[in-house]
Amino acid sequence: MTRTPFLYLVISFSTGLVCGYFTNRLLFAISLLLLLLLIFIAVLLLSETRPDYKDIICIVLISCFGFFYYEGRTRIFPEEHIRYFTHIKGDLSILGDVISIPDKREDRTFFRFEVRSVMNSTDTIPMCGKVRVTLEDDVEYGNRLILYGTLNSPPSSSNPGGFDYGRWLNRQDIYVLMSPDSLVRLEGKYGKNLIIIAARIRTYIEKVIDNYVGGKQGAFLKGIIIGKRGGIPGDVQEVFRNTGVVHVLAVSGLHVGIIAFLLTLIIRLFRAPNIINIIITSTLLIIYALMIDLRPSVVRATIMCILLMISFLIRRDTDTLNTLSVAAFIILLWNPQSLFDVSFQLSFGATAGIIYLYPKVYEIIRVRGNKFIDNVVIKPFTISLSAQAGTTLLAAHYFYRLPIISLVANLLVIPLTGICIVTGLLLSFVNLLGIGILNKIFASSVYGFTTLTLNVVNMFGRVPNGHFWIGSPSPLFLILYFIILISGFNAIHNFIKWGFLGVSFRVLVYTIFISLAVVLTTGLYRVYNPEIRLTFLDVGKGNATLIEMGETVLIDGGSYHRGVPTAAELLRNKGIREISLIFLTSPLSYDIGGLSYILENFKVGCVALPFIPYGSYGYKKFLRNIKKKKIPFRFVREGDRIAAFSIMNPKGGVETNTKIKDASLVLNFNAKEINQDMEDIKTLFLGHVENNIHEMVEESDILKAPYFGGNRNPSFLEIVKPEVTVISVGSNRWGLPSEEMIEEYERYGRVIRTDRQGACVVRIGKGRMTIHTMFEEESPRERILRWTGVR
Amino acid sequence: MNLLRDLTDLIIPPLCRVCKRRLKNDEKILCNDCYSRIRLITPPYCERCGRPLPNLDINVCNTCIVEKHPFSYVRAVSPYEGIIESLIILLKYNGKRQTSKILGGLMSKVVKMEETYRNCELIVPVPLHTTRKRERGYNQAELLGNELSSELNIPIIPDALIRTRATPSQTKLPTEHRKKNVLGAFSINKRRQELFRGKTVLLVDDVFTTGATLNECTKTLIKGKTTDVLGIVCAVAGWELYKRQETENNE
Ligand SMILES: [Zn+2]
Ligand SMILES: [Zn+2]
Repeated sequence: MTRTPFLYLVISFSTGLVCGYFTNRLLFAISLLLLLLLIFIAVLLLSETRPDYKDIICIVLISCFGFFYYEGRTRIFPEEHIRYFTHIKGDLSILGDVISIPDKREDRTFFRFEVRSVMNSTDTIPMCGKVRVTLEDDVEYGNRLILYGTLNSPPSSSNPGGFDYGRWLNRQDIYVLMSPDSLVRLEGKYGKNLIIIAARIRTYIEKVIDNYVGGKQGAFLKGIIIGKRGGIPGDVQEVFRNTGVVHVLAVSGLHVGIIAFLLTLIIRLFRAPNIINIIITSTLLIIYALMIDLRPSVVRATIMCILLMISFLIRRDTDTLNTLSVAAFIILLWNPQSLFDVSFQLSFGATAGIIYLYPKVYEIIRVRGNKFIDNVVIKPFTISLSAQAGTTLLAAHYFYRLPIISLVANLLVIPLTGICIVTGLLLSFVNLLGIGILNKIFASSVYGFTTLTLNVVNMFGRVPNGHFWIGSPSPLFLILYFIILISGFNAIHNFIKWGFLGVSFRVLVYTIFISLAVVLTTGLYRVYNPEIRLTFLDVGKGNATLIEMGETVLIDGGSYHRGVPTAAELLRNKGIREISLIFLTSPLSYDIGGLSYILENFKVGCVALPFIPYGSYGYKKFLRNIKKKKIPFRFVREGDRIAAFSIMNPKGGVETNTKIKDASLVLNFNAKEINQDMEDIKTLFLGHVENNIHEMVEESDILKAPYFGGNRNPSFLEIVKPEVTVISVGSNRWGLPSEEMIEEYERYGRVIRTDRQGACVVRIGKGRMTIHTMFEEESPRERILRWTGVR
Repeated sequence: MNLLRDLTDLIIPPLCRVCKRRLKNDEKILCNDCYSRIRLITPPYCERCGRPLPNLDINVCNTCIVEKHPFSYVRAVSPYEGIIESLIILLKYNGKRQTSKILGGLMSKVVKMEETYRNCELIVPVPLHTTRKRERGYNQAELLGNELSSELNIPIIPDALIRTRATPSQTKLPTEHRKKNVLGAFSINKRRQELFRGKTVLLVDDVFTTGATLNECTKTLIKGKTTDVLGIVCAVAGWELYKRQETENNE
């Protein structure tokens, strides 16, 4: 008889899902499943409530169910699924319904589209599956449309640690993208009534906010009230992440709580019996959840709220942790892939933290003498702390930073956001009355509160050392952290309350020993298996190569993605804050790219560049930044050597009469010079040179091709004889790289194009070299090294 | 419907109101463990106010020597401590009406055992002021009275007494103020007077501290021409005095 039957249910179910997620090889999956189950049962056996064999059988069965459920829901598709049509080049006509409330941004509309049939010139084939459609037209929820256009597969992440748009869509059961060229609207409504109401309310609130607030404030308000995050500028979201309050942008329990509270207050005025009160509130909450497009956080809050109201109705005290688990179970049954969704994890992490840790932490730090301090300072602080404990490191896994300022920021920002939501909703209600003066009063107060909130967040964002870039903690680290967190607080709680340490303490000690062992073995592994890693990033039309050889070297700055250079994103993912050397191959914008940002935000040891006078804005800014930050720099030329790099070009000093491209940097990197044990691998970086290349090269294993693959005389290849050629390129109007050049490269070995294969990682170790491109499946060895945080 | 109940038990598992442990199938509201930890008052106790006494040598407690209560007899189920205290707090301040089932059940056991209560004909709960009742949603003494009424098969008149003044809560006042606080706070409900004229009334309340509230209610009822008033309460407070004396004597 446990207090939280659903907690065990959800844990065993999730165990199955995790096994399903990590592998599609049955044998491996089964062994993983058994391993996880063993650990789970071991923990159960250690706990106070010893399970009997029936419980264990139950747990095993539920885990297996989870595993097969995941397989069935994500890897087995009916034959007539639309995803099998993405490989068809050329246009198709598909008929179907709009099944989500369209997200309208400036000139485009995004929505989910349920396919019913595909039509070609001769017949109609019944079809199923969902498509994410981007349209320049306006559509409503429930419309039936015929779309004409090409189907695409969503792109997956092309850089290590980058946001995986494809996966993100797959988790919502979408495997196909479409931007139709034209559409035909059919008559009739095909939506569900409840969602139609939700869509109307959403459009109405959006209109009110646009009318009365607008601007950055309006975008923020739309984000927090109707969950429309797309309109919030990227830099504002970045500040929210830095201060650790990004969760307020995701409509969450706070919102649902506020709305439920307002609703019950209003309904109470009519003195309805409890049951009617609960039915009305639940219906409205469900409509609200539909309005937010059933985000995990809001579904969680809605289910919990309804269950708590029911338990109040049937007069039962119940365990909130169990209620939380019920919500998790429902969401996972609905869509098992939610388990791997950031918002799901953060939402449940925060709530579980508050439910489980808050009472225990509060017990320890409560102030008994002063009720005021206890209520105003200690309680909110403890709640914030417990929520942070559940989310901070999880968030760091995705956002790479540790926003320590969030402990304080949350105390102010959460109540302020609450006020914004309440006043925003009231404005929408008041607008219904149509009294002009009242509207203006509410509108200005809403405007005032949102401005205040944004300013407060900005203020916290400017606090020095408010956040640290700690890199992305590995899954194994996170698991150990959570076990230590839970068992640690349990042990302290038991000790204070009952005076003995109990099982939690034993679990804590075991886990600490395991963690130490993990730290030791990973450390030893790193020492005995040194590795040099070259990452050729996919930065579209540009270049950026990161070399990790103990120290970090960056060659060129690549491009920006959502306001942050791709290279900076990768550095932060790895938790690197210091770059010992930056090479700039030429002052052209393809090379400088995000270097100014990197100079401003990272500690840079030295910059090496060819001496080329050039007048572009980007180059001037780059030089100014070097001076401002007092970074040592050096103009290099043929014959210079820095660390394991030998410079082969430019020749001589100032060469005003040569073309800029021909004066760009040519480098040769020799892995053996870093470490004698390393495989003898030479990498040649060819900058932008176009003429007389054969004069500046020597035989190399890896070639970083010049200038989008180059298009001049390929005779230099006879000298270089590259086994692997990496071409950093994006779609461009010159149609580079040319077919002829690719053929030339292929004569000597493998050709990797960043636009087709994504970023390319070359690992050079003792007696081996491996190459992995982002769009290939990772080898099990590398995957295990990544999960355990060795690399 | 067993399946539905089992599912409800899974989704919303019932917990013990006091210790929050999961209830077993045969348990309701309170787990057997907590139930067994309720300390019942056993003889010797004061024959006027029901407070537990340190030894058999005396029949009446100190307070009852000084003060004479107008009611003829009152018993309490338990001292105001531990589980009973938690239950009463839940009932009075946390809106958990269900705890009245447990408390009422315990009270009815005491009433059934005592000869003195045999001739009670009516149950009257100590009333709450209307505003307080609206805030709380119910009168806890009335809930207890209802339980007793159904257990003992004695009719209850919930509105026999009316609280005419909204007095501050007795619990926060020192002893000497309590009497003044409730003085004239009650009156007879004239419309119900016929029902209890000349009858023996069982007055129900949750906690007995100094007896000021019960005294005042009894006086009002006697003015309303009832023959006799007996009292029954869940818990009696202020018995710690004796405990302390006891330990001092032992030393
Ligand atoms: Zn209990
Ligand atoms: Zn007495």
